[in-house]
Amino acid sequence: MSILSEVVDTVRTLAGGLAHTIARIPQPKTTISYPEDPVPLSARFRGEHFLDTDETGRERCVACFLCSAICPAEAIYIEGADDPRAYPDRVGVDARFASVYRIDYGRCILCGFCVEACPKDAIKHGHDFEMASYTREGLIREKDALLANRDRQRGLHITIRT
Amino acid sequence: MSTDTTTQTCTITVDGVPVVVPAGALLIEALKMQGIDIPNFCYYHNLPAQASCRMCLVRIEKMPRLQPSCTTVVRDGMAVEINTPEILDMRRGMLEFMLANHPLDCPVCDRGGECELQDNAFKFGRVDARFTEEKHPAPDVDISPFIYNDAQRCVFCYRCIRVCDIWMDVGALAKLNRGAHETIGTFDGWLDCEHCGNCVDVCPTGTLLHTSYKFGPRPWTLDETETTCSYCADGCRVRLGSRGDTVHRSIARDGTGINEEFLCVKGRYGFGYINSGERVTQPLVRKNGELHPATWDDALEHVAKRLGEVSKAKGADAVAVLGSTRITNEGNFAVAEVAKAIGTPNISYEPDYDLSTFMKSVGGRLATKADVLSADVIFVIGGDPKEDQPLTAHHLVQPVFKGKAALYVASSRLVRIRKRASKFVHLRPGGEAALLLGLAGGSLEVAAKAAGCAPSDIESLRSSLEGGRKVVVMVGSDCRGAALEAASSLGTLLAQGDREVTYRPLVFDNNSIGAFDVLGQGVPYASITGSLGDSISALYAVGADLMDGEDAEAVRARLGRLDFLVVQDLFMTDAALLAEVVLPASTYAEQDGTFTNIAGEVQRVHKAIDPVGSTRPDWLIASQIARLLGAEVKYRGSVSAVYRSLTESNPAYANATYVRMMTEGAVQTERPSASPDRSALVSALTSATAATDTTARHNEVPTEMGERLFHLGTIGKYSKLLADAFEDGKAKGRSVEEEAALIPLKSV
Ligand code: SF4
Ligand code: SF4
Ligand code: SF4
Ligand code: FES
Repeated sequence: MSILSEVVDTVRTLAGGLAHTIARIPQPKTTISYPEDPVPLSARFRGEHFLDTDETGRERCVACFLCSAICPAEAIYIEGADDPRAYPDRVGVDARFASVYRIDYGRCILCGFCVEACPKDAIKHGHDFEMASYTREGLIREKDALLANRDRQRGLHITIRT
Repeated sequence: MSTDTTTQTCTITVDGVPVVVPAGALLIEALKMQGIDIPNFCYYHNLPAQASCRMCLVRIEKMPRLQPSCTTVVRDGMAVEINTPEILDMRRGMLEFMLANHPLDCPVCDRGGECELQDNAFKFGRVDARFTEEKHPAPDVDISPFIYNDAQRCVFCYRCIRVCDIWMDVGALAKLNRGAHETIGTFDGWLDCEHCGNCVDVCPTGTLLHTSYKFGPRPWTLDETETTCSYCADGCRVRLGSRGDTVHRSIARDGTGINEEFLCVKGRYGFGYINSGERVTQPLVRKNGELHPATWDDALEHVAKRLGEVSKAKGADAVAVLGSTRITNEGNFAVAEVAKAIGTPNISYEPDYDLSTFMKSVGGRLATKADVLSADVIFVIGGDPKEDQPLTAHHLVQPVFKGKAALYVASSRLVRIRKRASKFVHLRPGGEAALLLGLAGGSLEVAAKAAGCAPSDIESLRSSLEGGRKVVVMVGSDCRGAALEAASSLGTLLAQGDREVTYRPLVFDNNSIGAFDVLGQGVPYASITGSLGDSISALYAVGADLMDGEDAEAVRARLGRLDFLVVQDLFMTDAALLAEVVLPASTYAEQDGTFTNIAGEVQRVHKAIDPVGSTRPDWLIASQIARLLGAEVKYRGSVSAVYRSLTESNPAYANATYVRMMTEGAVQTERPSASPDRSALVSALTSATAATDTTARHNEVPTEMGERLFHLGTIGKYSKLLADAFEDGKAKGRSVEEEAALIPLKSV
């Protein structure tokens, strides 16, 4: 191949690429400037979980262990306990409740199987994806944190894509 | 089913496929052997037929209606259909009825994950529920300290009731009310029974449940370890369910051991001591009068140094070593090595039964489960297996219930087992020797007078015993001296005849026989405890309840006079509080090893959890001390090597290898055969009879349920559930609040 045809080729390619770039400039942006701008997420995005409560604030979880049984990453650890008090006084919707509920985000792959398995709609995905930590302990969420997650995640800097 | 037909077979067709099955078998069992499980609820292989759940129905050719496979006996040429649309429809329908009033609360039910109703509904049931009627809600109620009842989940299979009646011979459970209000329970709402919990384990649903496992970890999260119970000498196989370092339950549900699915209250609910917060978890050494935590190295070196000092200064005889009927054979073997290393003959343990006298005349093997189940005559003298050996009692009433064996009981106490006896001879205290003399053919009048019974009692007992072809003699601890020796040679004393007689000593502690086999009874226990502080200046006591007797204060004074006391135990016992060094031992759940049961069978103990704290198994601690004392210890850190040394030194154990135990479960030890001398026995009996106190009055107080069964030994005391439920051998009743909270029974 002669040197001339090589130059012509290069220029043609460059021009093609540039034309593509210039054509994009007036179009809407797909990147966002994180973290200043809110992150657009789908409604069904699977972020950090939260444990739900019923209308009166009783924990929905009854420590049935189904979420931890289905979990392919073995990320969920539960201990069940008995709370024999009557409904208004007790911790959960049933006498059986989870005294320990722990998710290890070092293991969790956010697959959502636990949410599917839960017969009580107690565990759900929130939208928080900022779970990085410098320590392993920082990746572990105890029950209290998971319970607080529902309200905490209301204030996330995100927008829900429709 | 009749046993003599088991070798014959017949051919049936199952959905058109011919299969060969044992003749005379129940259809459901025959199909199970072919790997075909027919869904069922009320059928249970060793309970009488019930045929009420209708879950097991199959179509049998030429029969007008579907037939229950749990009561149908196979016949040659029988054509069975088990998978037709008709049958699947029937199963769907049955399950729909069973779930009509079911709360469907699997997520909170403890049985979830191992529930037969759940499994069958999953496999055969409808996806949706068509019943829209309101259900009868019934909240769960405690019916004993150990059992709670969620009545709404019941499918009325009556396994629980039959188990209580037939396995346990207690009959505490009943069906209450009728129709839609039917429940399983007791008439006053509170269980008055042996609290064995077997009804809970056989329940196919989550109706009867263990309070000890209430809302505990799901069964699939548990690591299950097959091991041997640490309470009584019966040696039931238990499955410890542990999660991490905690034991959560003790069950026997796979039915592979000598006890099949049977457990008693202690074996089932007495596991609490393993994870008790009161365990000693690190070595303690006394400094300036106080016990302080120490490292293992320091503690062991201290022990070896002080034992060495005493034996040098006062001679090896000044050191005594005590093993235990509670620890493993390997533990006792290593403890004996310590005595050998010091060179002292003073090694012993606290016996709960005079086995050296018993074994004098019993050669070969002790009576096993198979012997008991196939016996035609069972004779219990001077003991009450109902209270002391629950599994033995369970086994011996089975052939009696089936009418295959006759039970004879002779005792100076009104023992509970007498209720099932064809004949009960009530002796005066100490009258056992006289009775045996009568059975041996001595003068009936003399014997009857001393024994405190009628001559005709002895005569009829003798002819009944002599009429047996397979006789099992169970010798209780009320028999002592000449009576004990004679009872364990009864076969020689009875008239000559073609009969096989086997014997079982009614020992209590889980490893009584093992301790006797490994440690022997060279130096009697009493002579060691009697010389503490006098000729004995140093004591190494392993798992010994030194101060549990009435002479506790005297023993305390003696222990105080010792130069050196080292106690190796699970808890801070009274003796440990006086010790210079306390070595924390692991429980049976934290170590491997073997126990020898009441039938002289060796069974494995398997490690379920890691040692609690920095405890160590007894065999390891003792062998480390022996090594520090300069002994050449062949085994290093391996319990199987300890056991191998044991089998090499004890011919009775030569064939009982770990490998055999792995495949066979319990392996019988074979003892050298003995030939008791009849005339010597009779003359010993004659003098014992002459010495009997004929003024002694009969004990007329009937033994109450639990009198000994509910007595808590050292380990039971530390098992919270047992300690909360029982006091002085009695079940504590309901508290006033519990009584008030009782849901009144519906009277419909
Ligand atoms: S979160 Fe749901 S699935 Fe998990 S234990 Fe609780 S109730 Fe069961
Ligand atoms: S309580 Fe359990 S074992 Fe008893 S009848 Fe009901 S389902 Fe059967
Ligand atoms: S009968 Fe004896 S060995 Fe069996 S569970 Fe009870 S205490 Fe344990
Ligand atoms: S198992 Fe046959 S009727 Fe219940």
